[in-house]
Amino acid sequence: MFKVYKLFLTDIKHLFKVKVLWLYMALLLISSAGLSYLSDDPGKVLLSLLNISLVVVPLFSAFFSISYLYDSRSFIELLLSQPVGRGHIFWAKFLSVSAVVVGFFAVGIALPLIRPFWESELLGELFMFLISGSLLGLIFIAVAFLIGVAFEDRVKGISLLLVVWLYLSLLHDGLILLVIYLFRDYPLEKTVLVLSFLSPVDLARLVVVLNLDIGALMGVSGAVFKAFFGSSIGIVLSFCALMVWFFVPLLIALYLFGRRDF
Amino acid sequence: MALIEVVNLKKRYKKNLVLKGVNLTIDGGEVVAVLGPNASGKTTLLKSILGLVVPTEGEIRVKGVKVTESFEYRKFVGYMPQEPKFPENVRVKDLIDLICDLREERPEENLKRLINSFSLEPHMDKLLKNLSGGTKQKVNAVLAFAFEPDILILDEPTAGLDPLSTTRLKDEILRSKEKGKAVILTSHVMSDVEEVADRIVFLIEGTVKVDGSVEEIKERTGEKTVERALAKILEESLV
Repeated sequence: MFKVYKLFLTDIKHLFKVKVLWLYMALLLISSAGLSYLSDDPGKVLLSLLNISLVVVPLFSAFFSISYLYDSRSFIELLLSQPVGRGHIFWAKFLSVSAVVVGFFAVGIALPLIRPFWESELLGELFMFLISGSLLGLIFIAVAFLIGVAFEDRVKGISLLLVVWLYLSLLHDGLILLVIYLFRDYPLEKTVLVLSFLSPVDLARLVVVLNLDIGALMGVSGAVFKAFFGSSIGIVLSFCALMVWFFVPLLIALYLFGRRDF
Repeated sequence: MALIEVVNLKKRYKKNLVLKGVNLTIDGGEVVAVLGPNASGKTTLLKSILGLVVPTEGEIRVKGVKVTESFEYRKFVGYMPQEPKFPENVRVKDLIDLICDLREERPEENLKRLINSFSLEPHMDKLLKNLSGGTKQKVNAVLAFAFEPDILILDEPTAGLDPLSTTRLKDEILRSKEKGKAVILTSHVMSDVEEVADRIVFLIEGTVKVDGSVEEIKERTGEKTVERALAKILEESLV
């Protein structure tokens, strides 16, 4: 554990000097503060931020992580020539990138909102929003690590990650709508339910929307979730599915990292 | 017991079989030069001993420990890679501190001696990204030799070094040999090899073509220099 801690600290020190991370946090701060200033309804602020976080958080988390991993490759080689396990290096890299990317997201979103949400007693909703956004970020970091470890060629890795992000963030919703449209004469609740579990972005959206309980913004998957499970069980199930989305790519990445050549 | 035992080592990258059953035993107190033409498998062999490359078949033991089963054996190994590879935003002294922490020892005197020998004092507070290639290579040398490991693996160690640092590095190699350490190196500079190596392992297309002392190889080929002797062996193997 000491070695993981030392490597983690070295990475954290390095990451804090990366300017683009501060820019990311500044943009989130500006968005969060701006939306909070423009609207008196904290629920609406969260929904507006939700649209930003569902696109920006996965995009930034994934591409920052894979770039960092590729840039660290030569240093990983140096570390591997020392009495350090591959697992130590993997966990130190993953934990440091996750802590910084998720931490900067949470601070950027939460800082301007703590006071208005405290006053309107909606801190629970804000907390749930941060949890789902952080989990979404962690999932895309895990996916980025998986692709970064599996593909030695940077261009191939980043291209594949772009396709995965594009599908999960944008195309998957389109696919659900297409299925609903094409098979509109059939009962589709269970199909929509299964399709929703196949996208972490959809699941993260459901956690926030079900928690805010705003019917008009639930979309088809939200409505089906609510009808099938009710809000509370829907949230718990979404969380469990998000955890699966997090652990599966992460553990495969760890397995491949232990067996790859440097 | 030999310090390093390589038994029937094979390594395949996709369809390309880079090492085709290498057998090698290396004892303490000898400097072994692993030589060969480009893409003959030299770096893959060295990286396999370090555990950076996972063997497809065969076995490597360092001080009796199978390298695929433990990472602790690397405490006995010092490594200078072909190209200096460091994180950019880290200072030289912080990198040395990190490696000391990871190896759980701090050889103060040795560090001072090597930093002084390679004239690195003015660079200790600099970020690694601001160092020239040669200076980075000197940092590599300090990290490899400071802990006085039983085995030194040096991949093109003199590449990018100025003549003074090259001389100092060769002195360090000979000093390590006198202390009973095993030194394995690759180099394209045959005069360096001739100066420090006791034994040459010549690889061609992933197999050990020749394994013998410098004198044996010269005698066998009837050539006066290692460079000409190896060129002759290479020519013979191409016929």
